[in-house]
Amino acid sequence: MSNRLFGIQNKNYALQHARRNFSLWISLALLIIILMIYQIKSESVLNEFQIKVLINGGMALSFASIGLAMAIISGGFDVSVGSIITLVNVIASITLKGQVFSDIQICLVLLLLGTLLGAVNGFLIAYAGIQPIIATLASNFVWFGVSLLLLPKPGGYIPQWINVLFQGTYIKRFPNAIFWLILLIIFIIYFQRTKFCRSIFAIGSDPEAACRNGINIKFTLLKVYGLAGLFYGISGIFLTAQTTSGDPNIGIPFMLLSVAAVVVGGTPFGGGRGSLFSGITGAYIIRLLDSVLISIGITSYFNDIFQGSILLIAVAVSSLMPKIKMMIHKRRRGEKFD
Amino acid sequence: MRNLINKEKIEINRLDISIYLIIFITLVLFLLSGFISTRFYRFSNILMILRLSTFFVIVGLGQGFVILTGGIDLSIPWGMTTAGILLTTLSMGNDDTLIWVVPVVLLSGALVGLINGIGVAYLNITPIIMTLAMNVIIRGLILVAVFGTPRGITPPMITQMMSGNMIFGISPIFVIVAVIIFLSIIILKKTTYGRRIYAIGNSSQAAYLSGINVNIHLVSVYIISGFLSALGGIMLTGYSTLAFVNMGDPYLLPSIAAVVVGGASIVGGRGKPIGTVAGAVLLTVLSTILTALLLPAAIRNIIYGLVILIAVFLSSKFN
Amino acid sequence: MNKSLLIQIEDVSKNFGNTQALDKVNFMAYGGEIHAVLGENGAGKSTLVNIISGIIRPDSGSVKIFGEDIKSCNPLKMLKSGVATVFQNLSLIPDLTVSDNLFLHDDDDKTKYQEEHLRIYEWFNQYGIKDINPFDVVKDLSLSQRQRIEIIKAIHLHPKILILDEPTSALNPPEVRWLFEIIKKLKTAGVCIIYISHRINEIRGLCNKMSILKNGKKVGTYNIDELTNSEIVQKMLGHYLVQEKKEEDQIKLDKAIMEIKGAAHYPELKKTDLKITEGEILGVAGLAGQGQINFFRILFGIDPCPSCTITINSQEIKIKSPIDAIMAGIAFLPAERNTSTMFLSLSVKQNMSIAILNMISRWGWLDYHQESAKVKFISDILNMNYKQSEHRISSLSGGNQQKALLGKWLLKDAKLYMLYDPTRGVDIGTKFEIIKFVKQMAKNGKTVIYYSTDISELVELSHRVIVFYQGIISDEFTGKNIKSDRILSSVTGIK
Repeated sequence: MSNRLFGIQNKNYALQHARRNFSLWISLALLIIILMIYQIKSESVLNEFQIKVLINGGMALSFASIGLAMAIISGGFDVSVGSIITLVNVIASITLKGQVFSDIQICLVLLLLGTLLGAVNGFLIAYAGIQPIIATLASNFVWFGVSLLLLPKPGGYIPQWINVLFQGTYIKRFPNAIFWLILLIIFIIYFQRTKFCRSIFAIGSDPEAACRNGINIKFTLLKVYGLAGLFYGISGIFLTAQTTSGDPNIGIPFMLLSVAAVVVGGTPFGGGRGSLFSGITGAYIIRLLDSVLISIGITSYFNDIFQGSILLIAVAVSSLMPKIKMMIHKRRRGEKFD
Repeated sequence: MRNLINKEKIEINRLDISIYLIIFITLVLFLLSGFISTRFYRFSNILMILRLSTFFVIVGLGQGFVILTGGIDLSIPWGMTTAGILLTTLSMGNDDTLIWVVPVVLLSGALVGLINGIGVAYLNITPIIMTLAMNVIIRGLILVAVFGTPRGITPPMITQMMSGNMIFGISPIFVIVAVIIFLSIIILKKTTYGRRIYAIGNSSQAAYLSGINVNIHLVSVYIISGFLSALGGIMLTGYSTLAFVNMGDPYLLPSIAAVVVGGASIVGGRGKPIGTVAGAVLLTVLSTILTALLLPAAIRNIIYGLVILIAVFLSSKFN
Repeated sequence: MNKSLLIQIEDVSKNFGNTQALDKVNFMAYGGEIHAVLGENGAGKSTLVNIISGIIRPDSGSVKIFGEDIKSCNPLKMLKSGVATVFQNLSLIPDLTVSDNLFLHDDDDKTKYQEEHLRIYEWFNQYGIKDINPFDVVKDLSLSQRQRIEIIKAIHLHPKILILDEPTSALNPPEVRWLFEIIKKLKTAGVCIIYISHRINEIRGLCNKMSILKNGKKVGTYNIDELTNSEIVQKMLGHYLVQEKKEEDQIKLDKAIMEIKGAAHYPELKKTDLKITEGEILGVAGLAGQGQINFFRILFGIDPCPSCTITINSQEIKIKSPIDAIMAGIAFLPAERNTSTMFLSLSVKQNMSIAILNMISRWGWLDYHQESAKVKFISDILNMNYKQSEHRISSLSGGNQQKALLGKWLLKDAKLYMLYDPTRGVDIGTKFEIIKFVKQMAKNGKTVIYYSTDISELVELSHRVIVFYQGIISDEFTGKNIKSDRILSSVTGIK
């Protein structure tokens, strides 16, 4: 009896999961399509080096977008993505020395810093009652300002070992980046099953009902933004490893790109819906799109136009999604929708 | 019952009180600035401060209209820059072309606003995303159009507008700005349009259920903001004799700060243009002091950010 | 039978801004009893529930649950110590699945999916639920399904105190019987059950004790057979249930002004064919979610109904948005008094003049004098204090706010007024004023569609009463047939 039950529930569960995360699967499909286009354009099976470059290129954005996705799912927003990344990058470029042991400590401190900065956002939003958009917009400029103070011009020093750790290859034919990506995916799988993650969705979906269920909204939001800050910190370290220099403007494009990644990856605004995986799929779609466009020969200014437009299209589609879903749903239920 | 009435009388005037407070703080700051150097008190310095403040006032007023409806306009930086680049490139420094170049530039600003408004009102795209994306898109468009480098110089007449002494010894720009301030105040206070804007800012749902065409009004405020950004860009170009990339960037944050410091609610429905003007002047005085103290420009952003946070926090506490 | 005192509330008061929700209330409940709490809207029932569940803290007084003093505001702790609540406006998270909602507070962070789902299937079996899939997202479920899940959610934790706030509002009679079975079983097991409901007949069949609240004060606690229905209503409302219409209120109406025909294809509203006459007060009765709100929304252009035809004065009208409806002379006063119906930071005057801006302006230029004159005119008619018109509308009492909103439409000189539960949460004095005023409006030729959850109001006001049940107009009462008990039965689906 229980075996049959298992069978039924597994099938049901898979179906339901697919239906609920409809947008995520679409973004995954899009990712695969773009990958194929990229493959065709490069006229050969991707070699190890190309794969490495591909994966490396999207890691920083992935982490940033996952953090942002958390904020969005909780019903809020976070404009300060780029500024925390920048601050981490700038401080890294000033403090890292090349001695692995102390450098690792510094990196850990930087992660803590990212978490703290995120928690400041969380505090402003949850306890001071300031709207997420304005709180994070203001803190965004504050952190950028601090970065500019610490490092007025691009420069600084980033030791080589960091670059190799994140971007290089330790085991032959197995770029480190794959390792990091797998780690990230495992973390998300685990995290999305926790009570904490459920409470994030709950708050985003219906804060009043969440409160009645005994969820401590203020404290949870503080944790959400703090965790997002941690992810921005990780993103900053990845970015630092990638560019091997400090730049007080390095995070500026992330403001737009991370939002685009989250939305393209299938997490709509409004909260309560979506998935953290959308941060990964969306980030890679955006990066790949970038590469494809460059390979076609589109200059960087057109790139701007494309990025902005893609964001708009993604958001518009995302807000029309419920209407489309409702139409499909009603047709399936046999009701006429005039 | 009596308590209720007294409380209410005070509440309605709370906005006015905060505006007086801002003016007071500005004066105090100004007095304190004298400790840095008595040169601050010179008339020419005061004039310079006022001249500088016109930029914040113009973009602040535009941003104010948008914020009143509960939105925000992040396309001001490149709205200004595009206007400046268009001005110099289309006119190539010739005063004769201004008769058609200026309207074209202003119209293009309004057009950007129109697109913003349509996205926000009809496509339901949240304002922060819509205007952020537009900011990036028009950057791409204008840079493609001029192949990456702005050309031309500011026509002398525009420079005259900004710094000349044509009307009773003061520059024409003050007259223009004064007219715009006056119009903003009048429109919001005394017209049906203004009343509807406040209604929409309070509750677009209630406005909809009262028969107001919410979408059209939403589009209109973005058009206003786009128009005023373009004007701001023209002004900036007149002040610096040419247009350069990123010239509009330093004006986004102050445009929001001026509105919020001036007592408006960031979620909309409350605020007065005169408050924005007061906020703009305060920020200019603050900025001048910071520069005189030889503090790096980065500090400015930090201070603006903190000012916004404090102002929003206080405003949410008292309302 | 060991009846332990589980809930002991003494002298508890709670104030929300302008309203005194609870005023020195004493309340006691024991294990093994089903204790009803009665009172009209705004009497304080929900506040009482929230205090027992630990969601809010009283301003003064003591709250002892299971003998322990409750000082802090900690709903999670209350939940874990055995106080479960079935909320009126459900506490389910719409975007999560049924299973997520049931396991929202699972103790170990590593939730074991397989086990969870097995358990859910067991519970559904045990409680006889056959039509719900645990992996359905809550917002896709019907109202009745959601209410049943809300019930399961509360009882599967084996609570010692179970509070039910209007748990049958979306259930049909078999489902109500299902619920009662469960409750009776819990009672025998010694659980203390608090049952809040409007439905006196339901309460009679289930509860053994009842407490009546009125305007934040407790009127008294009685055994279930101590009072007659009339006496209960009298204690709740302060006046006797109007049983029948008075002779002089029945007038002849013949000028049909409005006709609505069509099928809506919503899950909640199926078919409405209705003719309305000028000067008529059409009473609408029905439990929540039976389609009446959709009906109102369609008439006001908020929801689309392409297959509906609306005819006014023999001319067909397309109503695609509130602007169309308003132009056709229709006004709508929704039930909520909050941001969706009022402009909270604007003054009373500005709220009232918002629909007539064109009338008080010339070429867009506002005439403040005219605005004041018109507002004063209507304020006087509605017996409102004109001096308050400059104040923010948020500072007014619920009753005065409602008058202001009604005044807004009167200023517009609408012909058809759709009032949705206009006296909900309004103090008694203003309630009577509004009722009197609506009668006057009808005498002056205005037409009113009046929905109310208070059946005696409908009996007193209406020339005709229609009942919405399961998406259609299931019953119509005119003239002498407008009787409270008949309407009550029809509303709960009993023919």
